[in-house]
Amino acid sequence: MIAALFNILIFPGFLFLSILGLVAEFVDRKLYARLQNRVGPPFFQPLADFLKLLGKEEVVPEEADMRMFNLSPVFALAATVVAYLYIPLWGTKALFYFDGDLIVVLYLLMIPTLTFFLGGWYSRSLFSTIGAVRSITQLFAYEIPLFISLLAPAILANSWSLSAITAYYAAHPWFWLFNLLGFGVALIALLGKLERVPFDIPEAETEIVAGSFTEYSGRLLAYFRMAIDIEVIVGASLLAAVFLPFFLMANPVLGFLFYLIKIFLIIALLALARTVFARLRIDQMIEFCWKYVAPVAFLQVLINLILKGSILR
Amino acid sequence: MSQSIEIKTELENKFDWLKDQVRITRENRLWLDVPADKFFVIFDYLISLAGFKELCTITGTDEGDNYGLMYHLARTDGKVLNLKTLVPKEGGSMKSIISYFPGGTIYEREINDLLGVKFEGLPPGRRYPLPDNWPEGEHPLRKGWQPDKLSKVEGIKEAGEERLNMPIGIRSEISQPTDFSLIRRRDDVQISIGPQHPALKEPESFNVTLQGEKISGIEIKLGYNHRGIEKACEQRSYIQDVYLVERICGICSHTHSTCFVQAVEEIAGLQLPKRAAYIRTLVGELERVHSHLLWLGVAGHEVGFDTLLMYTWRDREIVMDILAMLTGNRVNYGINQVGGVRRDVTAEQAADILKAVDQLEEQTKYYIEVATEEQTLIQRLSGVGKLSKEDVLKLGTVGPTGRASGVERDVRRTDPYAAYGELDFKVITSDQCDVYGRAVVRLLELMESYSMIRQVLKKLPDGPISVRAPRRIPAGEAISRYEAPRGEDVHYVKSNGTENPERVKVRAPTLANLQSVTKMLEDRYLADLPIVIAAIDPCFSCTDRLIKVEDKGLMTWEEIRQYGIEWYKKQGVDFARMTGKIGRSKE
Repeated sequence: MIAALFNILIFPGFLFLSILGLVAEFVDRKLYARLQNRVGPPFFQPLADFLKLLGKEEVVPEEADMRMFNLSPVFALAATVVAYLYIPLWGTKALFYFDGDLIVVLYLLMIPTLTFFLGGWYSRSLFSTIGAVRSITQLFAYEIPLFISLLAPAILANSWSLSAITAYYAAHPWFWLFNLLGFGVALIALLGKLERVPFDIPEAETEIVAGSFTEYSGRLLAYFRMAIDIEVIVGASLLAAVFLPFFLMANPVLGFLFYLIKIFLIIALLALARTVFARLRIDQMIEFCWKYVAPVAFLQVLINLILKGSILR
Repeated sequence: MSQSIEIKTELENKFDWLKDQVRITRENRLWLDVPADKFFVIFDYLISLAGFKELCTITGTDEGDNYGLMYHLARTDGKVLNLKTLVPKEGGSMKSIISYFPGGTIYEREINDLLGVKFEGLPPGRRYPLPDNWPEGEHPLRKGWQPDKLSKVEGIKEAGEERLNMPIGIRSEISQPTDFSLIRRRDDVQISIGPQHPALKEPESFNVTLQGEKISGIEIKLGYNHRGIEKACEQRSYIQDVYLVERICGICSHTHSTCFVQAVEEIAGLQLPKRAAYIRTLVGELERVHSHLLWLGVAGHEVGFDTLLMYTWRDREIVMDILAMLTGNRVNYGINQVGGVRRDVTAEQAADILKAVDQLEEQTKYYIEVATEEQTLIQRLSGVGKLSKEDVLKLGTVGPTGRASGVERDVRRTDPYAAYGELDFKVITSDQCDVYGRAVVRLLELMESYSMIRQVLKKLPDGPISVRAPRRIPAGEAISRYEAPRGEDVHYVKSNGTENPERVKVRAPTLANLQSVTKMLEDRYLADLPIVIAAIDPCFSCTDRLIKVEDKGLMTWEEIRQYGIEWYKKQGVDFARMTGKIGRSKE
């Protein structure tokens, strides 16, 4: 009981993930600023922003559906934290695992996007509604490539469990090199999932103010932002576990260090994309994902199937 | 001069009753008064046969029992013919010219609102530029009209009690944009971009009707920035007006003050010293550099490319510093005066400018590289906001927006002012006809500006920087054109022999360009809206110049001044004491 509570609240639950999320936000913002020739925020800025939002007044639009409006951020936060429990971090075993947890993690990671949609839709504001519809439209463009790119390594490892996949690649070093195409696809899909430039279409500031989050303020907005911060960590951890399964250490201190290096490498790649790209239009984004990203993901599956049928037999 | 005389003789041959009616005040400027019943004969002839295919603007004047309507028609070779006619105040009206120039709609609306001249055939639409809750029958540009004629609250009450506390410019007939039932009942939604919106840097309102992501209709509402500058100019002396006019816009302040003093100098017959002309050109080109760099950053931001914004605005500081060094101010330079300029350029300053220009040129080359290679940026810009050459001519689009559609229209070349006649430069055009073309035109224009700045500093002639100007300007009128960073700026000044002008009319480039926005957005996506609006480089404060209404009602200038003094006193700043202090410290 106490162990479970500890897992949920302290490690690797809310507290640990929140801190890591805020650090990730700081790294992202600082890097983004430095790449743009700006000074950037001090290290405590994300925490200060979070606390400030917690203390602010909450304004709920009169026409909004109170229940959905209030619950959406909480659901987003909960789903991302739960997903984290199934991802192996520095060992080959996650805290919890069963055969098929890969699918569960992917579905859990879809929930935040759905809450963006529901929260925006039930805000009843036009900007939010447009943002919500864009969120869900975008979901259909990146989710399939993400699924397929993650299934390819699973085919090779012959398991639907993240822990088993990591264990397989730990046992067969250098096999992760087969999955590099999939890694690229997953990174692009992650950009879409996190709604980052060039895929920040659902919250395009100059068009629809803040998209789904236009009407959110105070505590609820703080939860949403925290959920996004944690989603960054979870997404990066997922990619690290599946595509970068090396330096997995028995020693927790060293292992943790390498884990941090891996996820911050992914976060740095995301920040770099944010710096060098302009925002695409929704039609261009969907065209790009279906014309180029999805076929590459299928190619990765094909490669892995051929490998499995021939060399690795 | 010869060509102007040719036009004159041609007109006289064609219409013998025009004998000695055409006045030529200087090269490129022709004036003609015609009676209202024969107006369209001449108008038609000028447009179809004499080649006057551009309408700069229409100026309305109050002349006793009549309204004067002056149509400023321009030709591609820089000749401007000012065709004037009189419309009686009692029961008179004028036929609309929108069948010739669709872009003239907004000019007619403006005169209709400010003077009360009726135009037959003007389609119904939003009023411009006065707020919607402005009472009927009050026309502020009429000579007898005084700001205090409107009683503070009652004036607005007249228009209806319910509108008293309504935000200016929002009509009650328009359903609330947040009305969710609209979405359920119909498949198109109306969202309002503005008056406060992250895409807009100034308050202006675009009511956009959407079908999904597609734009099916757009309604532009202007007038949030009216400050009464044209009226205020009539009540102030020429010296004061130079500074007032400069404050029409924060970005192209030099544009407006130069354009205004040019007109006044022309009326007064002052010969501008060469050195002054060169210094004006120098500041004008530096202003263009800072404006274009600013635009590039804003354009980047509109398409979510914030890195470009950060880089260009960092480099813009270089030119801002140069401007501050030259004139003492980052904006509103205050360098112009009637008859010349107020500050000289020293040799050290020239060296500093050259150094800065080298630096800027280096950076601009990098931006050109970014703009031609960065794929996401190109995808967002090319093919967006198409405007054909024909539409440019019809709608009267000016500046880089027109030049990007292949229309070679640049006042610096066709109707040279200041020192432009002696400089060597290219007029940049593009055949892209889209936002990408507009970006490329502006970037290449930056390179031309650098070259012009170098030429100016190299050729800078010696001599005085100003001539003495009289306080009273002899009666007369002049029209002055200036190629602002955004396009052609037009000022019309009419003097009556006193210290104050009789009429000052300003046509800022954005007013001419805004009308093409609707055309550019046909069948485009919502995502294109910010960049298409931004691509004309809109400057709404230039566009709007007239009356300010507050919730409290209308304030007279004296009250506003008093209010300002009191407000600062409350903050602990006493100007009366401060000026004393400054005076003492100088002693």
